[in-house]
Amino acid sequence: MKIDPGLWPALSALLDEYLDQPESSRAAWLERLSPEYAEALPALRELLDQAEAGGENFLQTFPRVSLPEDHGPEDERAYAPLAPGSTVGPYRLIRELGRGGMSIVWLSERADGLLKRQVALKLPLVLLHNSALAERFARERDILAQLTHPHIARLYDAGITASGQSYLALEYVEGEPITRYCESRQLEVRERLKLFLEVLRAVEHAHGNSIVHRDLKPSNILVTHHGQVRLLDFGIAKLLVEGEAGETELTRAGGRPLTPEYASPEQVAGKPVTKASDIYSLGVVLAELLACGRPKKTIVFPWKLPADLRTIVLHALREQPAERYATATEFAQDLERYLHDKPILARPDSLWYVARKFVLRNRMSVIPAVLTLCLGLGIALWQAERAVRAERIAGTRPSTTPAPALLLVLPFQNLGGDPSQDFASDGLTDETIQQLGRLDPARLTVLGRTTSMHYRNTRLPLDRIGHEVGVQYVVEGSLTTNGRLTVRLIRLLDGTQIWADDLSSESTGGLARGIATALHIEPRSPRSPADNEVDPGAHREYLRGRYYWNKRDGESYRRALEHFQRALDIDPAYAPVYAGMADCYLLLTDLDSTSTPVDLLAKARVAAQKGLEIDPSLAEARTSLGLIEMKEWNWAESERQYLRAIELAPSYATAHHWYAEYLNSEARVDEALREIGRAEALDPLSPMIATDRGKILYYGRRHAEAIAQLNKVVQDYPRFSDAYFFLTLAYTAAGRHQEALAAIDRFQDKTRISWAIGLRGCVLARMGRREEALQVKAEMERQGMKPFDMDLALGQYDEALSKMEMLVVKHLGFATSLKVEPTFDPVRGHPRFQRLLKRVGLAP
Amino acid sequence: MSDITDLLTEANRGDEASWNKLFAEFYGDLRKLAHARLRRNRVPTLLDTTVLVHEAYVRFAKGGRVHINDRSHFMAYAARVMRSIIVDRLREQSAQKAGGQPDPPLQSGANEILQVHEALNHLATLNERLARIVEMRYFAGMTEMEIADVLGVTERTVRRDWQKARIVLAATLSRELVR
Repeated sequence: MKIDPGLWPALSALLDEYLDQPESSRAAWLERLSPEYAEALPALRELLDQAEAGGENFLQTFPRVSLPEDHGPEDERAYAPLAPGSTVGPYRLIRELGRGGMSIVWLSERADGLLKRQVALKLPLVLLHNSALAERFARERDILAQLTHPHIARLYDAGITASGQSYLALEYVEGEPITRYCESRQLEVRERLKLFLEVLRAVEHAHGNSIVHRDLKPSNILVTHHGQVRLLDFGIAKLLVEGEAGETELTRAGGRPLTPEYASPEQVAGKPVTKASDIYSLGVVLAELLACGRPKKTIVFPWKLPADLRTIVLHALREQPAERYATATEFAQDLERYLHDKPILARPDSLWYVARKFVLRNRMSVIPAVLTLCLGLGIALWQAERAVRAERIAGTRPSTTPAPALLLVLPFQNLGGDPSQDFASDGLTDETIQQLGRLDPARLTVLGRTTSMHYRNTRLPLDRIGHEVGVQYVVEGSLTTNGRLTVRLIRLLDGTQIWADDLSSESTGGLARGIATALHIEPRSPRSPADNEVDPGAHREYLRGRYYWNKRDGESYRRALEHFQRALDIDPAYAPVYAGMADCYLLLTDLDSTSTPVDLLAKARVAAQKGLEIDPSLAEARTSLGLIEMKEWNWAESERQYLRAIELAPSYATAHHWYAEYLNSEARVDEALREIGRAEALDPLSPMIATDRGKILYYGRRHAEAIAQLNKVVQDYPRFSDAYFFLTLAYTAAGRHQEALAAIDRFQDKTRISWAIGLRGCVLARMGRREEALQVKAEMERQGMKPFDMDLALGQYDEALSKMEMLVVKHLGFATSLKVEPTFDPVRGHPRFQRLLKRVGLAP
Repeated sequence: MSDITDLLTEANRGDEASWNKLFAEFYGDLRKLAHARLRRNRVPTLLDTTVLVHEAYVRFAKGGRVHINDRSHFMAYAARVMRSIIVDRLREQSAQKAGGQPDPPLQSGANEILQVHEALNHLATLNERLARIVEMRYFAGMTEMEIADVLGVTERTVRRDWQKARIVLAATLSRELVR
């Protein structure tokens, strides 16, 4: 049979329900199906009947076919996958532990049963055929096998199978990277240093045996659950690289450092690698440990680290190998001196040294000396940071392609001085960010609008701004009263203006193309309708609309909608306007009490779809549609729209941000963190994105990390109320009730006062101050609210569930967090809650 | 016109033009994979489909010839190319054997593959993702975990989609299946 595409959506939904039933009750389910499905039912019955003809094994195996032997011998190489139970050399594979660019690692044990020990079997991707290489491999193996130290994972065995597959059997270590270990336990600086000293002692031992690690990084420095440091892969990099020499394309990659953000300058340059290279990598790791695992913060915010520790880190990070600590022992001794409050040996003038070097290297004419001093470490880490950021954005290790250039568009100045014209300058800034965001992401990354707007009316010099956010290019511009926009592109490295244009603010379509050409970037796709000239009047109304939208409150969304409507009255085919309208309706769903979310979502959908009809490549409208689908619980479709939006405009921070929300709702914590990391990298000064990282950690039950993150947000943005909200929830979940109450007290936003009251009631209930909590609840109910979270805190589960059942159908915001919100944990196993989950499409 | 030609014509549109060249270079490897899939040798090696395709992708990304965020696209596309190679190969063979002596059980295998190929086009009009999943699992032999990774969805979603796709394909083919 052929299926009518018109019937498919209904059929597909019914099929899902059908497959949700246990196999034994499917037939009965079909019988019971309610008459509202009458239209699709005959087709479903026919479909299932006919599908039976396929039998149980239909498609499960790929048929075998005989082919004439007309192919070369290369065809004889087999391609069946590795699987549990199969053997490689003397080892039997148990399960895959992970894979990297160069090898796959399997948990394995000896196939002959001689030793019960489980090992991490590392399988390089490149086959070794040549016997000279095999000999060298064996020689290296023998040297490494002799390396024994309590803090170094052993290499037990290595070899090459008859088919040319090399393998390395390494001690299997269960632990977590030292940076994550320190962060998740919020270790004090002294404790971090003590762990790091263990690392140095291990490196010292290996260096004493003339073995250089070559690839030291947090993922190779694990801490076990007993708090013991274990270094992995000592010398393995060399063994792999040299083993492959002259073999394949991969070899050339192998010759380069495997992990650029931790690699020393000489490794990056492809020069010989020595013990000093390990010292440098350790310097980067130490800097990361002391900066709480986020090197970025050292640049954006002043570092509160003792000067001696900075000096020690900088000494390890010297550019010339000969100027670093000569040995791991000296490095360790200086740290010991610091820990015992004795003077350290590293020269404290190294800050000046780095600052001078930096100035010379970059031929920057004027940097005030004091400023340079403050930025000392920031500059040293800047380059490592860039690589890390590029990796976050791209989602892939950039070991082989140059990191994309980072660019910040500074808010255009409104030279007319008339504040009522701010909409035009801000709007043009936004448009420029969006247009540049569509260029090739491998070449250019544009920071998001929140970060841009942070520098509105700033008096900071450009190079300072560049360092704060780590960009190499800045676009600045100004708008005159007579509507002329002057724009300049500046390269911060040497402060030169490399492009400038003076254009009418009413036809700015060529701006992004001009900048792309100046940076030698090809426009990514053929011209989209978005590049076309629009009616100046419609454009003006659109900019006004976006201006109000960006103010982000209920009243301004309504004003924005008015302007968008006027824009459409002039030019009904002006696609971005529809995306703007969709976003207004969407954000009103959380604020507007006069219309229901269901109605607003329907309006948002009409607008977004209209925009996409006119311009299918409109990433903003796709992103809006992603959120609409999510709030309407069409999960698969939501994800599809987000992924498409990201493909269309990889630098659009909101797409990554909202996609992270989606992943969060689906309890895909690691993916959500990765995605929010991309949003952060694109828009590092957005309090909203920073808060949502905290929220994801909280939903992921990583309360200590959530608290640390949210405290950072409230410290940096004391007026941002959402952060206090989630900080309170995280403290409550962690049982730190006093701190939760203190967080509520710091919560200043009067417009959200009902939040504060409700939160306070919940905390009181959890502290056992029941009478006070009940009073709060009664008061809230008098005001017509339905505080189900208070019911939950008070243990009144049936009441809570009744309220939730009543509210969920309205598509209120809490519906999408049902699966992950810790507040719901007490009723999670309740059948009524399970039905709710199912209703929103989040049941397992 | 063979399916491969279709595919390359399609790749030539829009900004996918350069993919044509990439896949031409990579074609030999994919052909080996596709033929191995038809023959199914059972010696385990590392060079399973995903690894090999990934390696090619890394090589191209390194040369700056594909975007770093194109990995999913690349993997899915490779599965499509494999499907076309398999189908082309079987059609070529059945053309050669037209007047000859078909080996019945093996012939039925080839029939199944060709029928699934046709039915997949119908499935794609209903739901593109279901068709892609069948392509990756049936034609390219990728695991559910690998497919989930490529599509950026959960394994649960892949499993469910696979069940649905099987039902639709079985129904589509119900009159033609050689049992």
